[in-house]
Amino acid sequence: MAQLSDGFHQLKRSTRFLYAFGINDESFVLSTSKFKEIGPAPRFFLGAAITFYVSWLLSSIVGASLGNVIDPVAYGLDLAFPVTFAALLVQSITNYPAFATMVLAALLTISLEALFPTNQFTIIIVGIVAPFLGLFLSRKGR
Amino acid sequence: MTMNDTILLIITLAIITYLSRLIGLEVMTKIHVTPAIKTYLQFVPISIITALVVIQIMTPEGGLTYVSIPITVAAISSGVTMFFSKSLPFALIIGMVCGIVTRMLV
Repeated sequence: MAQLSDGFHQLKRSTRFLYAFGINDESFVLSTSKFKEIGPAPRFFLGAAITFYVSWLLSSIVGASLGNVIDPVAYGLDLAFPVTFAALLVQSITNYPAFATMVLAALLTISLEALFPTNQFTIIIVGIVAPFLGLFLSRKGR
Repeated sequence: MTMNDTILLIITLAIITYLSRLIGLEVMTKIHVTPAIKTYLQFVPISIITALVVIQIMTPEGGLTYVSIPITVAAISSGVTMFFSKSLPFALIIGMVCGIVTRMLV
């Protein structure tokens, strides 16, 4: 959130309240990586947020009406989630500490999942532990 | 669960989700975080997204965990396409196609 709020600094409070509605994983990653490239660009965020919100609504309608008729696995729809997140992940790997954090997070997830399968705490533990490596390497690199 | 319960649940969750975004954004705009915390926070999304992708790849079945080859191929091809093209829609299409083709072959 820190990276996103940096990009929203010059916005009015009411505009920020509106923009908060558009925050999701996709708009977050695309915007923060754009902000890193070209500086604060709230309009870019707005575009991304509207695009994802509208397609989410439309696909929900399609899913609700056709969901029982089609087999998601047969059409590869179950691949949509990992495919999207893999692409977003690559977009956020911009330096060596970020890459190392990803490797550690992957190893931690594999270990935790192997030891305690389908455990909802895995994501939280990885989210707390792995960033320390990124922090350590960033500080060392300076 | 009745229809009304479902609608109530959707509205409640929508409000909670919105508030979590709003509070996060407002608090981060107000509070001055130290550079160390800021650096740490930069790596939180990367860690969580990695965990989400890896969990999708690993499928538990009968006490054992298997690696799904189609999902692995889909995720890797999508990631590689994103790296070279920097286009999310293009990466998604390539990833989906590679995954579906792999599923047909495996």
